Amino acid sequence: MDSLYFAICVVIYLGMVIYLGYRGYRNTGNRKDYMLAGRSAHPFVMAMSYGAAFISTSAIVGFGGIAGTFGMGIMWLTFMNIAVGILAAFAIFGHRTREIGQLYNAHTFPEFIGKRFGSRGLRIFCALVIFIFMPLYSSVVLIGGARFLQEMLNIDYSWALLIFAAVVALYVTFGGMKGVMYVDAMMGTIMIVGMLILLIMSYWKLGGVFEAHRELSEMAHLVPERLPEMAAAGHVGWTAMPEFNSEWWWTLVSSIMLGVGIGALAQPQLAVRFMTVKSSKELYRATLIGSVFILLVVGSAYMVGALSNVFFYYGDKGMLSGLASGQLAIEAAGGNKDLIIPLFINRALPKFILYAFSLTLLSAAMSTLSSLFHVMGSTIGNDLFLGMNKKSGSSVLAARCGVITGIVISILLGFVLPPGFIARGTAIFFGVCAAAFLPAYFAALYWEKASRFGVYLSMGCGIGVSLFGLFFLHRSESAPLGICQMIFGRTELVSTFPWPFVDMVIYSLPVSAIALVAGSYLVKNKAKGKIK
Amino acid sequence: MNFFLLGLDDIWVALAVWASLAVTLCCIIYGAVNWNHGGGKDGE
Repeated sequence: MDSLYFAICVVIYLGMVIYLGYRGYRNTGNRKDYMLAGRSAHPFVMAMSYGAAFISTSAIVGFGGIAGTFGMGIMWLTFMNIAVGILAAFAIFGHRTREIGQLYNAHTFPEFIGKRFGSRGLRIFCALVIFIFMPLYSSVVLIGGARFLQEMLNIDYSWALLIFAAVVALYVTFGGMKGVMYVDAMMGTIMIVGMLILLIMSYWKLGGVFEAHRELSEMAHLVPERLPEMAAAGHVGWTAMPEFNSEWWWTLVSSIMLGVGIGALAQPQLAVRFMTVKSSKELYRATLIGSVFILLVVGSAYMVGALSNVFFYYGDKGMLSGLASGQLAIEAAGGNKDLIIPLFINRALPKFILYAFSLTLLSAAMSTLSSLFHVMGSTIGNDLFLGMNKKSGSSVLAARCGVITGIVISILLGFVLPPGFIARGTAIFFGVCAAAFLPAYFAALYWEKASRFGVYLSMGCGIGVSLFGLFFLHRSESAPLGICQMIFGRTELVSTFPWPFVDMVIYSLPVSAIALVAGSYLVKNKAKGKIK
Repeated sequence: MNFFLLGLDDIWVALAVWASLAVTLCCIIYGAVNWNHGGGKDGE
């Protein structure tokens, strides 16, 4: 790709980001503005911000690459993202979160939980969970964005990391939630347009929807021939679900569909966005907009990822001008799943789509990162510093200092942690959030009998079981982390199939929920506040 | 049947595509039906 051309595009893009961040700064006058965009966000802005924060580069390139390798079974994640991440989230959690957040004048997720259950300790506990685990996720997104910039602009990785972090830091620190959401709205729009162009051009290139699907279906015989290890793991073709009860089936269903699909409900950076709107009307409208966003952005990535196999294989039909043909997508990408979609775009589609897609990926990374930085900042400044010290100083100043602190921690983690650990950051964060927060969050909205003790027990058990699973049971994390190997001389404690491939959320979430109910009945120190 | 399968060879994958489209339609209907609902003075 022409680096100069793209550099000009990026400069214009960043200029718009800085401008919108500045608008956020000018429109920020108090704590409510900085934390919750004044509780007056436009539904389009809220929906785009929610979607853009939800979908990061790993969702597009990472899971798109999984689709390219293992096929369209991952479309069930698209369904889960919309059914659970949008419809259930807004209809069941969103409206009540907005109402109760307003009732208790909560500005952050820990403050919401703390005030609802009448416990400063719970607020601090939630804040500590976010403070400890969110940097793992943010460092992953930060590094991904920096590596992307490094490749696209041909600059040193360290510079890419610092520039990327600095730009996001600027508009988050000064613009607050308004700056973040204005920029998200722009980025979300870019993401929709970019992915829609990609989807339409891909089907056009491959001869249409039915023809492309038919050709991909006919390639199923290549799986046992060319990918014997994946065939043994349950892969039967790119237009088919994996073999039931196989290794890949368990990974797809438990980790991807359920782990990521349900984990999205308890993400603090998403939950706080329900409190940024004035009334339920905005949430109803945002549900409509958000669902279309997820369908187009995520659905496109997965379909294109899988269909790229048709392009790379049928080279004899002249699609690949002079390049090696007869390859599967994963082969063409040299075994690196993350390269499948960028390679497909680069080889198959017009150059302008590569530019549009590059900005799409940059938008996905920056929007997710900004939401994480903002939540970390609010947590560190507002919940931990002011909360623990019982200070009533400027929350905005404290949050701004918190944002800077969170960014510095993320950058340091990016340099210090080994690659194997960093790659697990997303899984760890989603899993821990789901098990730690989801039962308590639901109880905060709907169960008046939930007690403080029950909530503490639930969060503690959720985190404990999640971490136990990560370190000792789930092979994808326990093997690279190496702690189980170090203590017990094996990669996981239970090797009996399918347990090494069962995601932690399958058992940590029920344990957390049971702990909440049991704890609430055992120790009835009911929350002082009421919920309508 | 062929149209429903969208040229795919597994009904479960075709179902994933249709289910995604259907749930999006549900969200659109949900948002459209309630488009002007809940915008009262006290933000209900």
